[in-house]
Amino acid sequence: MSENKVKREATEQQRTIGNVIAVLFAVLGVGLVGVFLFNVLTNPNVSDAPSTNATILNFLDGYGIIIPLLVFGLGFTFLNYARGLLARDIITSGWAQLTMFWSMVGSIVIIFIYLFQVITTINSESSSRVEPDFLLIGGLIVFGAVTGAIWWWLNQNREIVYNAGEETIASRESLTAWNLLIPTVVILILVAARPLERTFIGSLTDRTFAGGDQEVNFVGFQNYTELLGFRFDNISCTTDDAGECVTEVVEEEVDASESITVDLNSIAELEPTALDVGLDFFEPDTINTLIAENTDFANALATVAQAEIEENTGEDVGEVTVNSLLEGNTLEVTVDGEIQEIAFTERLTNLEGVDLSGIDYNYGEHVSLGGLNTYRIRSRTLREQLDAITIAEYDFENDETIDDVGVDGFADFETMNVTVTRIETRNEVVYPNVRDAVGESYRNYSRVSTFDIFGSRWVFSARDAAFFVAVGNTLFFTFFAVIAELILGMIIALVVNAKFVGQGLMRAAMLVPWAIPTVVSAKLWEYMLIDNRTGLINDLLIRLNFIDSPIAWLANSDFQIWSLIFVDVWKTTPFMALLLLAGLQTIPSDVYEAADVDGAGPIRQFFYMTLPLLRPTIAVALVFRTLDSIRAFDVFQVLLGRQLQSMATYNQFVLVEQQDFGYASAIGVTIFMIILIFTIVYVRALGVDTD
Amino acid sequence: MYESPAIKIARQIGFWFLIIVIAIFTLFPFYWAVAGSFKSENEIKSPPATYFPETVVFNNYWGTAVDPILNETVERGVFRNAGFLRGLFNSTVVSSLTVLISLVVGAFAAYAIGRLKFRGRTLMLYLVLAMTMFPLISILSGLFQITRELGVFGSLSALIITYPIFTLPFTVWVLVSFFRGLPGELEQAALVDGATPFQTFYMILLPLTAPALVTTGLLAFISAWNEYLLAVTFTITNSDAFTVPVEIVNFSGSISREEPIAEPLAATVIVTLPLVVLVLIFQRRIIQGLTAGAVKG
Repeated sequence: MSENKVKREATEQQRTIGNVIAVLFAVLGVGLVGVFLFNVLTNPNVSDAPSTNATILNFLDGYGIIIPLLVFGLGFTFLNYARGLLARDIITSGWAQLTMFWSMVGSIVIIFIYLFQVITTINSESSSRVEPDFLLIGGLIVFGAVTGAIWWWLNQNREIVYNAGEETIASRESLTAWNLLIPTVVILILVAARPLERTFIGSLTDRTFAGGDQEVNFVGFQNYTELLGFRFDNISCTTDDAGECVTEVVEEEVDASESITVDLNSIAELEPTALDVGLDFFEPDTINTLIAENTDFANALATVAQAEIEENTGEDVGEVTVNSLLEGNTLEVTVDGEIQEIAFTERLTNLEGVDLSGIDYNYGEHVSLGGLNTYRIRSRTLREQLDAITIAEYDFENDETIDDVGVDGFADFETMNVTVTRIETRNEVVYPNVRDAVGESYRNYSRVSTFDIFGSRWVFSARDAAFFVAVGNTLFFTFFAVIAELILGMIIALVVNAKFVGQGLMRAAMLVPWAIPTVVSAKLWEYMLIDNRTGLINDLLIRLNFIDSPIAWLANSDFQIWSLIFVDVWKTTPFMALLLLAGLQTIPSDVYEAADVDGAGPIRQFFYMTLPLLRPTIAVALVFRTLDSIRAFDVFQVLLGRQLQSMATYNQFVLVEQQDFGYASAIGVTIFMIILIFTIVYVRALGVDTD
Repeated sequence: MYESPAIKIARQIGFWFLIIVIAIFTLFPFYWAVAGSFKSENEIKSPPATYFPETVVFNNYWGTAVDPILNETVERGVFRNAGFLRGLFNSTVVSSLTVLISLVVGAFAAYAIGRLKFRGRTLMLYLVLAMTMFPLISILSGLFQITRELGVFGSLSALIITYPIFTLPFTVWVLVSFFRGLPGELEQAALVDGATPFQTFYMILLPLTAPALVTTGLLAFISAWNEYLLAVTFTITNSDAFTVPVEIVNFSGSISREEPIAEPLAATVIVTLPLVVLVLIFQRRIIQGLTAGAVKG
């Protein structure tokens, strides 16, 4: 190392190469700007634009601001390097070396990505396959080799050739720092700054991806006015001649699921009809019992079977006896002493043409519960009969007039789940259709919500109602999810904070919901929230007698968003608890010991000590979680798709499904602004230390 | 304060009761998935739900089943599902490369920001902090456009190029705080010995940061493995590039006209298992890494 300190004289050859490198930098600087300008001027969108405005706007759309700034900045810097290198400035040579090094690395990385692209798509269909462009690869290899060679040479000879000036510790540190920061800066420009800029500029255009190359026009803030246009209208009720508000009688059905007990004998009293009985409704065992024990039924079945066989063979056959129903929907019959198997047909299934009303046929004895439940769905006649019996029993027991009942199913042989419907009537003030009330100016708006303030009706409507609904959903979701997570997380943190055997295991268990993909947890909950008793939640709630019949958690609009909140709370509460736990563990225990001595109870301790001391942690956790929830995508997308959208799923839908780049960009920018404002207000209000 | 033994016991019982409730709350869905993945498709679809598999079957993982429509025996199970296996492979490639990029690039930047003095240091720090909070959805359309311009749309490269946007700032942020915590004497000693700043970095400081690298690498891996928004947006045209989350959402079974439940449950078990194992092993480190930014010790 020490020999480097001795300033050696550079040879003539070294000086020449040094000068060549300086010239190369000048060429590079001029070339960079030149190539860029050439590209811009030969771009038909820019050079042939009809007006100056269009030229500028098309330039912005194609190149943005960052790229021209970078090109000119780098060009100028390279010229500056050339000047410095000619003056043999040692500090400049360091920066030149940095430039060469990262140019070399850059070209290697691009080659790698390119080859990766070629290799990974080699088996794809031709449309998405990347054919290797050898000119490009060759050019990159040459560029990489040249810059690499210059870097190598500078590395060896820099301190000998460039001896003007003095490298200080500070200048060396600065050089090293930027050397290390270049890749981060490049990545951030490529995947953050440039997309952000593209989104901003794109939001001012009508660019779409649908239908090939279309002309892109600048539309100013049209996307934003379409997205954000909203209005409040006060509409008054429809009045009659006397100026009074017209009212109207509204009938509303009130559903109430109930389990009621039904006497089994009343089921046995049901009258079967030909259409009611179908063999596919029953398990083979049930049918076989019926065949064996009920001669009338066996004869009826045999009649149909005979008709079927005769039709199939086209001949008259003798006596047919039915032996049994086999697995796989075949019927074993004996025809003229010969055993045959016949497949089930529509006719056999429905026992067509057979009058079963005379048959002594007891549902209660022979029909399995599963069969009866299936039967309920298939047979309208039976259903009506059941309904009639149920209404009679219900009226009798509850002494209440009901309008309709629907049998939902049999819980067991004595309990039937029934939806009772009552029709309630009330008088409602009649309001005109919003469009009629507001008139022509309402044309582009559609209603988001209606609400009454002090007896007058207000209608909130927007140009893009779906977006406002999405914003509302997102804020609702965020508010309740974050509050629930905070409270539950706090409870869990306080419990787990106590010292106990297995604390480490418990913390690991709490990390698991956080670690699994949101998509996987959403999928998991989708199965657990299924709308029948195969779903865990419905089954559990029914077993615990909280509900009588299964609830469609994800289809019923009353429960949809709460289901989402629940899934989100399950996934992120443990994480919240871990954050709070980490905060709790920084509170020194002597604080509590002092409080114990003073006689403060645990609840007082929590509110007067723990909470204030934990305030910074809570604030940070709240900010993290709120910002996360506001941009929620996965859980909405997987569980509800387009049924109920968040801001993020709406944005993604417009971009990917509708291929409307300009509009999607405007949504993106709007979300960005909402989150930005939210963050600023939130951070101020909570007093988060931003340091 | 004096407590009678009875109250003490009651408190203990109450405490353990809460612990068990919390454990069930967090872990029961996993039990449900594991149990479901060993149930037959028939059992899982017939009400009421069963809490243990009545008959344990393995054909959700690897086995055969009779297709009632084709009336022939077909292969069934996630390990025989080409799409799912390809998804696992894709996710592994994408996540590993993302971790590699973030760690190498992030450690460089973190060292520069955390230990070196240069103009623009504070600006870089704030930029990185702002990036960690950045809403990805806002620039989705910009990224969409850029991946198309680069010609990588619909391929794994699109994901590898864009994933550092959320892993890199976080990696830098955590590593900066780690670098700052190292004693300054190390560099002074190195400087006295004539080492350059870069030599100090990779010969002295980098080995010391190994634990932090493991932690941040793990966190980056998990977030890349779990990412859905970019994956579903950029690979929508090419099912060959689906990562595991996309594959699970679009899961289709091997039996015609069957919408399987038990089989995707097996898939979720397979996807979750490595993460659970990683979390169990590195629990302490992950919590340290996660809370580094949020809690001031």
